[in-house]
Amino acid sequence: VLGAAQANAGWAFKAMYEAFAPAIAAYARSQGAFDPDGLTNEVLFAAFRALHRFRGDETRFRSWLFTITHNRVIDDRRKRAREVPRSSRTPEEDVLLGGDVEEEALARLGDAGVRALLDRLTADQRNVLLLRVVADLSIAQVAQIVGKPPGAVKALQRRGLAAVQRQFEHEGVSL
Amino acid sequence: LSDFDVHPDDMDSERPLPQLSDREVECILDGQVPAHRHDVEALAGLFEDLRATRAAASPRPDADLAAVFAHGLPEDHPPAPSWAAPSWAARSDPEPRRRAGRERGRWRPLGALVRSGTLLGTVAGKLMVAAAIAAASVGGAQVTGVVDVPGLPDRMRDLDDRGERRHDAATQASEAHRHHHTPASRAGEADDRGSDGMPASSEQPGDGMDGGETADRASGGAGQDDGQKAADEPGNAVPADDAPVADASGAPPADDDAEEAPAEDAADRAGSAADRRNHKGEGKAGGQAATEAGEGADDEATKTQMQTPKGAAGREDEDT
Repeated sequence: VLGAAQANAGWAFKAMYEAFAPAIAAYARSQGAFDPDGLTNEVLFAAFRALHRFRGDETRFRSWLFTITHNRVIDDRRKRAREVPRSSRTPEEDVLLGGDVEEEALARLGDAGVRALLDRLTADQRNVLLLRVVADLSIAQVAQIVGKPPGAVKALQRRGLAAVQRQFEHEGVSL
Repeated sequence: LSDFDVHPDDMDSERPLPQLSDREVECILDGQVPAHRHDVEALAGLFEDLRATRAAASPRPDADLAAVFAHGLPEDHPPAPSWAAPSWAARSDPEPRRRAGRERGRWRPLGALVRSGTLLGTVAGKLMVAAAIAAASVGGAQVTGVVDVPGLPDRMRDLDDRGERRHDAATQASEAHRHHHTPASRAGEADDRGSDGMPASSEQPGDGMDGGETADRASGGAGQDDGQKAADEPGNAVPADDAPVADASGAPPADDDAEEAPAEDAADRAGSAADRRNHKGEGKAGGQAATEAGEGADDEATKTQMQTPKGAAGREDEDT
C-alpha cells in the first residue's frame, strides 16, 4: 500500500486514511486538540504530500506519521495559547457539523474522565503514555518522536502511571 | 485524624509509589491487570478505555482528501508544511545526507575560521599565539641588534664579516691593478700634489667624523654626497678601497683640466662604489662607515706611496 501511495495511487491513499485516521484522531482528542477531525485530515493530507520523501517500511511509516501528528498537536496547542479563548461549541454547532450527536456526547463524557486524569500529568508524561497507548508505538519509537533517550521514556511512563494511580487512590475516581 | 491533624488521604504524595516491573507496566498499558496486582486494576481499566478510543468513529475526509482518493495527488500540489517533515525521517534518507555533506564542504573556509576561533578561545590556543608572538619579537630584536641572544645567528655580525671579506678582496684587486698601471698611479700622485700640494698619505688619518670627512675626500667619497665632492676635487682621485675603479680610469695629470670627463667618471664611480659599501654596512651610522673607509683610504694611500715606483713628477717634487 505504501509503495502504491508513493506511486500516487488514489486507492492507496484511501486505504491508508482508513487505517490511520482513527488513531490520529484519538491521539489529537486525548491531547485536547480543538478540532481533532480537522487536525487529522490536515495531518494526513500533509503526510500524503510529503510521502515521496519518506524511506522505510510500514512500521516506520507509522512512527513518521505520529511524529507529524505530535508536531501538529504542539503547534495547535501553542496557537490556541496565543489566541483568545473561544467558547465551546453549542449543540446547534454540533448538529451543523454532522454526525450522531448523542454518540459523540457520550464519547466526550467518557473522554472527559480520561482527559481529566491525563491533564494532571506533566506534558512529557502525557505525551509518552498517549504515544505508547493510543498511537501504539514502542519505547524506541516514542523516544525518537519526543527526542529523549529510551531510558528517559521508560522513567516517564513509570512516573506517569504512578501519578495516575495516586489520583485513583486519592479521589476514588471510577471510570 | 492522625497525631498531626492531617487526614491520611491528604498524605498520598508521601506514600511510596507502587513498585512495578517493566512487564507489569507493559501489561497495564495494554489494558490488562498483571498477575497478583489487583491494586492497579483501575489503572489497567483506564488504559483499556484509552486504547478503545482508537476504534472510535473515524473522521470524515475533507474535500481535498476526497479528491486525492479519487484522482491521486495533483502534479502541481504545494509543498508540505514544515511540520510535516520530521527531521529524523530526513536522516533516514541517504541522499539528503550526502547533499548536506556537500554543503558542509562548501562552507569549509567558514568552518576553518570557526575552528580557529574555537582554538583561540582555549587556553592552549592563547599560549600558542603568545609563544609565536614572543618568538617573532625576540628574533626581530636579534636581527636588528637590539638584543643579543646566545644561540641565535647574529645577522649583523655575518653582514660585517661579509663586508670585510669583500673589502679585502677589493684591496687586493686594487693593488694588483696598480702594479699593472704604474703611469696611472704616477698621474694620481701628481694629481695629489697638484690639488693640495701634499700626497694623500700625508693627510691626517681619520679619527672620527673629521677623519671621515678626510677619508671622504681621500677615497673619492664614502659619505652621502661624496661622489660629487670627489668630482669637485679631482686631485683625490686615488681611491683607497675601490682603487681599481679610479686607477682604471687613467686619471689625467693634475692641472686645471682635472674636471674633465674621465676624472669625473672615475670619481663618480668611486663615489657610487663607496655608496654601495656604505649601504652594505647596514645599521651603522654613516659617519662610522666613513671613518672606516677613511682609515682604509689612508692605509691604502700609504701603501700606494710605498709600493708605487715614483714617477718623474714625484722625483722632481722631491728634488724641489
